[in-house]
Amino acid sequence: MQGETAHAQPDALEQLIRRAQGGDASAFGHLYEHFYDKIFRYVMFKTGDRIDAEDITTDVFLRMLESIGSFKFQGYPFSSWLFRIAHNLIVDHFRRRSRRQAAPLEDAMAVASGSPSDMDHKIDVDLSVAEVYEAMDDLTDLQREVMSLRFAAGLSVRETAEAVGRKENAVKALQHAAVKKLRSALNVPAKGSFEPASPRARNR
Amino acid sequence: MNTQDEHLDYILDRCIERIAAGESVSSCLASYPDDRDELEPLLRVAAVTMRAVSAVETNRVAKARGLRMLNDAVAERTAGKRSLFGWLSALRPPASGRLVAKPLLAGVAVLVVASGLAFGADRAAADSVPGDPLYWVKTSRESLSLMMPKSDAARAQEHARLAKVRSDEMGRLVRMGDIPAAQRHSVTISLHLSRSAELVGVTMSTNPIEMPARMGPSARDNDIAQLKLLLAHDWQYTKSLLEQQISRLPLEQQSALRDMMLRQDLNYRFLIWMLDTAGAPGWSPFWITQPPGGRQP
Repeated sequence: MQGETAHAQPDALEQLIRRAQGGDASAFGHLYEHFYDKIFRYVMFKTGDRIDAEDITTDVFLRMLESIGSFKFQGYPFSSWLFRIAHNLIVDHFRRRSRRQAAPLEDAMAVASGSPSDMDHKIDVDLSVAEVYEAMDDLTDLQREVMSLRFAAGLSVRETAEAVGRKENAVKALQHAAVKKLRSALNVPAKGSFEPASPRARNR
Repeated sequence: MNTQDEHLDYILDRCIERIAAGESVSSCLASYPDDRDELEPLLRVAAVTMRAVSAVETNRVAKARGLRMLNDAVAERTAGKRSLFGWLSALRPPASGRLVAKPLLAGVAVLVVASGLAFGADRAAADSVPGDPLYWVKTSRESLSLMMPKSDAARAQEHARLAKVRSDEMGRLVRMGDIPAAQRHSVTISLHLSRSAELVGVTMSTNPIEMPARMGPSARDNDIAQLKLLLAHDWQYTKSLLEQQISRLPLEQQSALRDMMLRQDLNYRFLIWMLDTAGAPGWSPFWITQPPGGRQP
């Protein structure tokens, strides 16, 4: 969740964007590699459908190609600009479909259940993506957007603030409120032991 | 909002950043002992949410396909720009310094505006499928493109490209659950592929036993090789596109999709095989020289 601003080489990214604006074909490839996973997770988190998420993610980069000339370095992070494109495409997608997919997250769940925990081995709670996704339904649109950008896309607070058009403090407050709501929706115990999970639980 | 809330907003955010960077919940709590009771449950939720979300992995094949599409679009754009500027260079003032006649420039401006409007509709129609209001824009543009004067080899590639466009649409139709429309598209794809073969000099027959495919006098090795490459790529693309859809369909539609996949598979394989072998000495249909596995004596 370091975001673009805390990225090890923000200047390198800026150079890459400028090269892409100048029509350098390889720069687009590098930008694709740099942002693909973040954009995909964000879109996946919002659509809940792997195939749709892959299609939309590809469209985001095609749209980036069309519009990159209009991006200006005026304190507005490129990632926020790119996620705005992703957000708009997701809105278009749902408008076209007019309803959410009936069977979301099948693939995601399959991946999640088999992956080892590398975030915090001491947490004795394990949730599937589907449970988290379901709990997200209780959030407001803005809270969900903030959580998607922060947790799924890994944007910094500043980038998130720019992407949703709010101040950084407002984003922090939205994040706080969202986590609170998730807590009650996911029914996570108020206090935990934080002891290492049993091997059985970890291998689940 | 009171100061305590703002304080919690801040330390929760700090801890979320630290957990995302790999720190444990416990170490974060240790930094804020006074807020532990309030912070702990929130951090637990944040951590499991992050863990669940980060478990979603990208599909390497889809990622590579997206990159290929981006590269194609970049190449197309670059080529378009080059030809546009090449054309505009004719309007530049000549060395003598005299400007091109104003009426000509006005005419060009009108053309540019009109093309811009048409381009807008064209972009909007690019993702359309049969039944969409702008689908006719897309197909009209394709028909125009086929009518433009170009070499047979270029037209063959255009038909191969259109077969891929129809495959994309077929994939979308399947996702929308419109299997009958997707099946109709399957026939169109076969027609494009047949036409593509004819244009490089290979005649495909609807009854290959009575009239086997044959190489015409105009067939050129280079054109055939290019078309083969294109088709091999598109075949893989179409296959993976449709394979992704199968598990998402209700059981009764899965067999219809499998049937379509088989047909497409045969279409592409047959055409590639014919481009490989038609006209070669000792040529005969593959089912005579290579009986299907399991049926050999």
